[in-house]
Amino acid sequence: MIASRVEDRLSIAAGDLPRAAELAAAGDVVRPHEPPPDGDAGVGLRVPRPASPTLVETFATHPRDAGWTRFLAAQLPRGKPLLWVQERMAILEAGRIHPPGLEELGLLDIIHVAVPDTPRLLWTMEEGLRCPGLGGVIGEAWGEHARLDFTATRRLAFASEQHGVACWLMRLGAGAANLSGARWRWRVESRPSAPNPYNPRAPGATRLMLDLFRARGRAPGTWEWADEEGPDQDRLDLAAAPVDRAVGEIEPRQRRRA
Amino acid sequence: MKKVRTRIVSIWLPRLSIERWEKLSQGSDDAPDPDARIVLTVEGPHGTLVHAPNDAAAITGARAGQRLTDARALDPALAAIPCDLEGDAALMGRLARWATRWSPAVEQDGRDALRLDVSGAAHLFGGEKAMLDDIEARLAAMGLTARTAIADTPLAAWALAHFSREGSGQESGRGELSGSAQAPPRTKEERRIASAALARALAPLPVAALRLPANVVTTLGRLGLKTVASLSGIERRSLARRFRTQDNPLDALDRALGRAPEPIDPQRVKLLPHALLRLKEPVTDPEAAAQALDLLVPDLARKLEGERLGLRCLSLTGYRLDGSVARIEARTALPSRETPHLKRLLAEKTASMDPEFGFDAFMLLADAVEPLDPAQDALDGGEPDGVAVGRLVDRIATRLGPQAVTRPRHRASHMPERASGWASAIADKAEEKPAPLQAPRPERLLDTPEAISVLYATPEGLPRRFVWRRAVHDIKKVEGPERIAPEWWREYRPARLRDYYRVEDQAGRRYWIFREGLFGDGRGGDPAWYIHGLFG
Repeated sequence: MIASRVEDRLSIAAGDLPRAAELAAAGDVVRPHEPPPDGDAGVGLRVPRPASPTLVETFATHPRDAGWTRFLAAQLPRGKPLLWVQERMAILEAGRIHPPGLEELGLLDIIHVAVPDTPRLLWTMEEGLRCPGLGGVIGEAWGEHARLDFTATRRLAFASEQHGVACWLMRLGAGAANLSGARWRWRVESRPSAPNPYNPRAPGATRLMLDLFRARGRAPGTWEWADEEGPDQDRLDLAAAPVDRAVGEIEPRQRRRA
Repeated sequence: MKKVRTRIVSIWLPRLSIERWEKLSQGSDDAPDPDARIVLTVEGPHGTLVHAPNDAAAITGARAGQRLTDARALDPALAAIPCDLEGDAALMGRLARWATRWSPAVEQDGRDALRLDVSGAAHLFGGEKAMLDDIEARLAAMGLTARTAIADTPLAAWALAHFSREGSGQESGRGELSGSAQAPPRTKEERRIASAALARALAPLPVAALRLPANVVTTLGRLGLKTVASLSGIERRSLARRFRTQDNPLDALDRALGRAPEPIDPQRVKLLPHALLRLKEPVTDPEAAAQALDLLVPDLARKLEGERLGLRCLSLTGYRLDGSVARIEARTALPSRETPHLKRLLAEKTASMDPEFGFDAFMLLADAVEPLDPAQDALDGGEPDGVAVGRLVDRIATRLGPQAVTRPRHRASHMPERASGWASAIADKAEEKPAPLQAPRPERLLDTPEAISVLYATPEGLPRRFVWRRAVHDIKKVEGPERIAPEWWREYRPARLRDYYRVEDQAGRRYWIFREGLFGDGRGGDPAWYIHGLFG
């Protein structure tokens, strides 16, 4: 996954390479299957993420925009079960999570909880955060419930940091960002997808506009993010046609050894 | 371990149907005149039969088992009301649950009787006589006439409850009560005496007390053998020719006296681990259930540990003074016997146990148990991850209901909504089937596909624009169709095929929409469009 920075709130000059590289390295964890960053300014910067588990709050700018799922999947840990809590309204408005789709992203072990309202969403998330066997807790809150205030989010953040279980609070159908105790806050919006290399009329790799408008320990910023692994994972690229060499043609070095 | 002498209590409710009917009709507006002669009837193979007469009807000669026409011949003014046998059975079921206050081993014995195994339990209620008094008094408080008896064998208890005569002394009405001995007879001599006492109690009863079929009773009557006592002198060989093996009255007598085992006892369940708390005074404090838990859970946990069991299902029953019960239960994803965890699971629900007139007993029962060996802690001293997650699932399921917590379950199916189901995380983990190789699937799926209006090139062109929830989406990119045929082996014939399209609108949001059916496929009118999922 490649992220290219298009705008930086701290207005780092384009030529300020050491600063950009330092920012990229600070919070980033490079996964083994990712290509190494190419170091070019503005291109190849990884989307930052918290160095240790904490509460990350993400706003979907449109309630029925599911683009954030891929961004979230890229950040979620693998290997341990995830607790995915959905409020009833979030299920009605934006659908229930669909395991076959998530399995394509490598999220296999999911415990799903459907809760009727925001107070019980918060209770369930907090219970989950106290459980060390979980890889992470994802909660989808709908709208702006009065209980989803600074105190509630701060409780989540503390529980997450204390027990070392990462927590993502998804805000769907919410208006302006209110006061929150979350250490990291994103705003995610879908962009028209990348061109599909095989079918010009089909949707290509997911592209997202990521706006990190609050982050602890690093500068906020905006990225355009493309899920390059997107829809082409299982395509077989054709190899070049095999060509016979001329008869008797031998490499000079081989001849000498013989 | 000392073997406890088996003692069986039989409770017979001879007037169950009519008493229940009278109680129900009292509450209604058209309460009948108490002097009205009324019988409850059932449909027999040869016409309507009297099932239960009320007192007034019994005086004029109506008897249970009589034909209604015969009863009407004696008393033309007899009113007949169909009997609610299912209601009676439901009441017996409730009574059987309620009777667990004396012993957890309760079973229904026929239509109108209960059987309790109270071996070694009677002293908890002040002895056998006090316990039988208690049972009758509590049933009388509910408006039910009960006849009880206690004996060493189920058959003898049943016989004594049904056939010992009312007026001939309290003791005989109660079967043979043993005042002192809870201990089983040890020597041969003691056994003989115990058996002889039981035989004396049974001797005056009619042969029907041995639960023999009606034709056997008739045959015995013709032979002049009318009481149990008359059977005792008969040689076995002389009766063997006349009766089938299973009907032999001497074998029945042997079973009644405990010389032969009761052949089958299919309803007897293995005693589940339980903990009982009886209160001296009924309590109406709403906190009582929570306090009872503090006492009962460690007790139960100890018992489970002794048997190396863990429970999967746990229930707390509060027995109210008026014979009703309040019950709460909790389930666990993994077998457990850990006191704080179990206490916490039930403590959330104790508030729903309304004491009403007061609880006088509590029972904590492990409804489902599984073997659980002592587990080793993780290396860092904490509990293993799997256990922690199981506990979390239990807590959430207790609070939000077991259906709220689910895990994905794949099924072999082409239909997206069927292929990806959810199964309760509390239930046993189903065998995971690998998901079949398939085209890209959305990350989110609507529970029910929603109808949308779509602009598309008929008959089978690509969609250009759709309206979903009053918002217009211009389709900029589209991929498809992926055709999914209906599962004809499962759905009825008019089910239509689906053409799924993966579309992207002007804002870059991706959806999964499908057209149901084709033009002219003969399965309904024009094809309809639906949205089914959202892609990330």
